[in-house]
Amino acid sequence: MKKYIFRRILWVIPVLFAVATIVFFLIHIIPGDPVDLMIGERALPADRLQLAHELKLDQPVARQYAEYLTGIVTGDWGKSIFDDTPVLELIKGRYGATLLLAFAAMFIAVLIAIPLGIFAAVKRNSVWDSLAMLVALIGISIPNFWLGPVLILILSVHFSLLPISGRDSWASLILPAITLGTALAAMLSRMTRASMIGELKAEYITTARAKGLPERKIILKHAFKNALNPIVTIVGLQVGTLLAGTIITEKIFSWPGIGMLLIDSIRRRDYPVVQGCVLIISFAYVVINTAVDCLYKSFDPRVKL
Amino acid sequence: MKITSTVNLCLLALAITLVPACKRAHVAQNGVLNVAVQSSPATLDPRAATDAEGDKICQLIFDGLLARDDDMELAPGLAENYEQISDTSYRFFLRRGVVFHSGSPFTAKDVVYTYGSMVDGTVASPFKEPFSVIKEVVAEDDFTVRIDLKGPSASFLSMLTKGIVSSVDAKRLGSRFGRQPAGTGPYSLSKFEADKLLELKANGNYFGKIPKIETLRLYVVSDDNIRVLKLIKGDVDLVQNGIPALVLPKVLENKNLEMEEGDGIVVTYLGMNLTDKILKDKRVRQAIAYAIDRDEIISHRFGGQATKANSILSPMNWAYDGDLAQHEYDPERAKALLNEAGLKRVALSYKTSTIKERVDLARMIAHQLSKVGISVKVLPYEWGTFYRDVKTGNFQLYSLSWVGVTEPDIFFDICHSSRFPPNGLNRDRYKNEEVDKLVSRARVTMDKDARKDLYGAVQKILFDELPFIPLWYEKNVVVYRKSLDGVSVRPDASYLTFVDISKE
Repeated sequence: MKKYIFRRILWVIPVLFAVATIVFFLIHIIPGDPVDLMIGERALPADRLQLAHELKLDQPVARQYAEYLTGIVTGDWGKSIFDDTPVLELIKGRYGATLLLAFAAMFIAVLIAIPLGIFAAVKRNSVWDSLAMLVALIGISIPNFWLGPVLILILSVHFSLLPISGRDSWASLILPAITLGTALAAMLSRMTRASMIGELKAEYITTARAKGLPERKIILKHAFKNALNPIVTIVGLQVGTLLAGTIITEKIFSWPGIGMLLIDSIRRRDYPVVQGCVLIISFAYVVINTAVDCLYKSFDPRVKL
Repeated sequence: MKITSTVNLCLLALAITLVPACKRAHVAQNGVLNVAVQSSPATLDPRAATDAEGDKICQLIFDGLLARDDDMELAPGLAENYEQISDTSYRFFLRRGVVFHSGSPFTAKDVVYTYGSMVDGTVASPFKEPFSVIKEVVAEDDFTVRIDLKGPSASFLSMLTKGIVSSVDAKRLGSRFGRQPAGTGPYSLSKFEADKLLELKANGNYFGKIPKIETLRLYVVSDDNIRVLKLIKGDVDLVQNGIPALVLPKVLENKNLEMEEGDGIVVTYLGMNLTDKILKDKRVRQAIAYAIDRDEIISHRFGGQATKANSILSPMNWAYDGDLAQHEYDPERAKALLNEAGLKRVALSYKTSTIKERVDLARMIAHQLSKVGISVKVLPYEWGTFYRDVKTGNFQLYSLSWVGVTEPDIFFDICHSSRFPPNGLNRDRYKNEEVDKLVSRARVTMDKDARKDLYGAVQKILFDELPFIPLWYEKNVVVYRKSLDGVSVRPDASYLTFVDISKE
């Protein structure tokens, strides 16, 4: 296990190197450059050249790339072209909000999905099963840009229970987390149901029943534990996606996360910030996936790492 | 006796010192005015701010040597008055006793520094080119500044509305000045949380109108629906130009809300590439103008909150030519013009940004043009790509808006043949010797009436030749809670109107 974790951590290095390289060249290839967006169309050609020089954008791309890679290793991720703030400082300010929202949404999703999925599996082919899966289908089908404003209209405007937007208190977290968590819960509950149905049909469950084990114990201790691997995979992948920022939800709730920072930076061609955001998002994704792989072993001793 | 006289003299001196201060140091009414704005400003350094939000907030924090009054006419600002020494030299007499928000006194040195730092490249300023007309700025004494120009410039005075920065703070803070600005304006910045909130405090020592409400909070709410909901709930007191026109009637059904509206100076236009083999024919451009039913667009897309345009200048501008007609919707005439040009069917592409409203408008225009045989493919592009294509001439049709046009010298930038990008804003690659002569003469003609005649002639030529088609002027709309008093709207949608607002 330790060897496996060590090997996975070593793999992070070439993955991040590849991501850093791809994002560097992609952002330099796309049309538009920060000089134009900073000093506008009226600027004289000589001033453009001067600003490009100040921003080191007139250097050969290979040199820029070498400096960029050296900076990543030494912890100097550069400064925002637009407001001179160090990239790491900018990301630090935003990533906390993204992490908080991602985990809160996942918490809500798991809280709803697991009991719903187990319930549907146990009552499979009954009215309750159909009802639970109908709820899940509705949850998957409702887009965030609709659900968010509707929740605000009901819970914030009509009943004045929660703040509409912003990040001023813990209460501000509830609506964006529900908005994000709903679709996840729907997907997760269907996955839980399918996985549980597979396990409940297995022979060891028949044996357990024949031995007279209580149904609750059979479901939760035996079937659910073995059904967890695909569920954990989906949770892991979804957390990874959430950590990349959720632009629509962040926009609706004015949530100052990394998604909005990344989009604004792409629009302004703020190369160092875009590179920094993508790197940190990739790093988080790789870490989560490694953690999920390690968790398999805990849930299923048959898995060899 | 002697002691009494001395004491009396001291008291008198103290009284003389204190009276002007007492007269000025009003305290704004306690309270908070909450406003929802659409975006976070990139910088609050007036020498660098180009985005509309940044520019409006800078007007609250900074004063220029001159200001624009509610009718968009030039008025005294940090300069109480000025004299024109010659065609190329001006002397400005500055206000005394003005203090920057940081506490440093305002003097002529700040004026010299502000203009100098834009021209010498100390800051990367998009305004360097227009300010390069300045040859020298001289502080004759602490409160007198002389500005010498390289040549006569009729638009020079209107440039002086640009905010004056505190030289002490700008030098100390460097690039951080944009986040910790120090000006002399009616508000000072107390909090800047990017993409979230800007908090400003009333400047009790302001030489002009002191804001009636002490704290102004500008919440950044980028989603249209959420801005509306925040206003309805009472989280914010006011939204200016931030409510989609189509939902406005529904919003106003709320009994707690009221609306003020006024004509605006933002003009949307349809740009055309005059180097394109189809669009270089004037008749095709005229056909396009006649084929666009602007009444329908204004009614359906803007809910009537816009007026048809026939010039880049708004009818409120002193240089606007009131004799201009309109290209009224006339599909038959459009078809006839296309026939005359020898074209039965035309295929064009229309580039736009990915902003939903822009794409919808492009599709609506494309649909209207298709009725006269002009097939238009709408191509929405991400902003950086779209902007690059417009500048490099990689387009046939596109639409953009000119924001805050108060100075008619804009015609030089957008129409003179020497101003093709990257050397100017002549995005449509328009060439006309007569227009070149007129706009060149107008910018060095000091007599206002003579300038107006020159710009009138320019507008007539442009109306006929249509290098671009002015489409509509958007109205300024402020929706606010009834608990507010003194709400008004200016043609430039400036936030300076907030100083007059009080709250029950």
